Amino acid sequence: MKKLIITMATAALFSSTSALAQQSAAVQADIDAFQGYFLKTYPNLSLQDFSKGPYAMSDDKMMQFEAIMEMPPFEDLLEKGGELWNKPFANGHTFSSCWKVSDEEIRTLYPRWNAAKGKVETLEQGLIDCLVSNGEKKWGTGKGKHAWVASHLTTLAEGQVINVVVPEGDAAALAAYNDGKRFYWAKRGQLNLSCANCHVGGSGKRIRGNTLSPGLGQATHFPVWRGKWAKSKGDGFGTMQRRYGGCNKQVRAKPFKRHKSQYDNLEFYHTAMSNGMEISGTEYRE
Amino acid sequence: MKKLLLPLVAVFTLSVHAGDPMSSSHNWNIGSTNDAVTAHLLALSVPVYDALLADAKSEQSKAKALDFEWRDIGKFMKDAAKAQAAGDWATAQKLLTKAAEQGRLGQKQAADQANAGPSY
Repeated sequence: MKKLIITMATAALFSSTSALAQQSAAVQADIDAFQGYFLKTYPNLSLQDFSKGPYAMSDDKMMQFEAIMEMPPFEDLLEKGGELWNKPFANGHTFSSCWKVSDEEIRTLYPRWNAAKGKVETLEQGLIDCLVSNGEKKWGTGKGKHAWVASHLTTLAEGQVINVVVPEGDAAALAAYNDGKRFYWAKRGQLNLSCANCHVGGSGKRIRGNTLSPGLGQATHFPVWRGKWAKSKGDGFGTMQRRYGGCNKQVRAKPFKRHKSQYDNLEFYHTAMSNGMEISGTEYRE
Repeated sequence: MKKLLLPLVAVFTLSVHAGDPMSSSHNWNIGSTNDAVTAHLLALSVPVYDALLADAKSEQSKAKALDFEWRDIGKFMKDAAKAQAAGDWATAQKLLTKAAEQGRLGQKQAADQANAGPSY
């Protein structure tokens, strides 16, 4: 009887562990189709090449990118992000105290499904939650020091692999993922354009003076430093959800608030499509 | 909405004529009577403006609830308020009609995109 109980308990433990870690078959099929489309459309590019976005599609643009990255215009802000990360809160703790893994691994945990809360968690929301749980005031989101600290973590995670998991058999997680998927493919705004119209079907094509970046690999380098953002509002840094808001405005749709279900679920789907790609650290974009 | 607008416009038109604030011998070079007419017309336009604004807000809310609100609806309503305050009733009406129409189009878009998904 004892042997039977031990065997059953062991089997139950292994099955629950694998259920937590195992990717949903439907999601894996989506990832294979998404990545397969890009690899077929651009046969000269490897999966990892897509992390360089439009620069991977043009030698001239790649030269421009590499020249800027030799002396990145955002280095001082990235350092400030590191200082903020290590600066003790009023209670003596630092940001690190909110995670049980090494600083280098934190970025790779997100976005993730939190079954207990029944929602998607993002790195940037995790930073805000950490401030609040340590008795600190919330920061403004999407840019400024919020983006600097997230960029610091992205830089620390350079070379690690994105692995967003939608647990097999978790209906709520799959629903959130499907919500993000629908958002990505749904046309919206007065211009009636979806994310996919520009970044799947339109990727590599010109729109005015810019080349549309491929949806594959966009999640590898956010938060990002954009020349456009440095010229207009802020210091150039912005998170993925800041960019989502900008894209929505460009198609004349009303953007959503950051860190609400719409953009969290979108980030869940969007990042999962880059599974298997290395995080490329903080980078420049136009 | 159409049912509401028609009587309002009818009342507006009839009341303007019933008042006959401008006699045939009116001197157009004297501003005071003209200002009074403008004020009278504006006062009469308020219920129509309010009705159009309520319609635009309603359509905006419905589109927002579906997560398909368009970007400029709020701006159109703000600009309409400015136009109305400046006495430019025609522009205010045009902007509010446009705002309501964009709200309706957002709802239609939500229905059209309900089953959006990958297409390679």
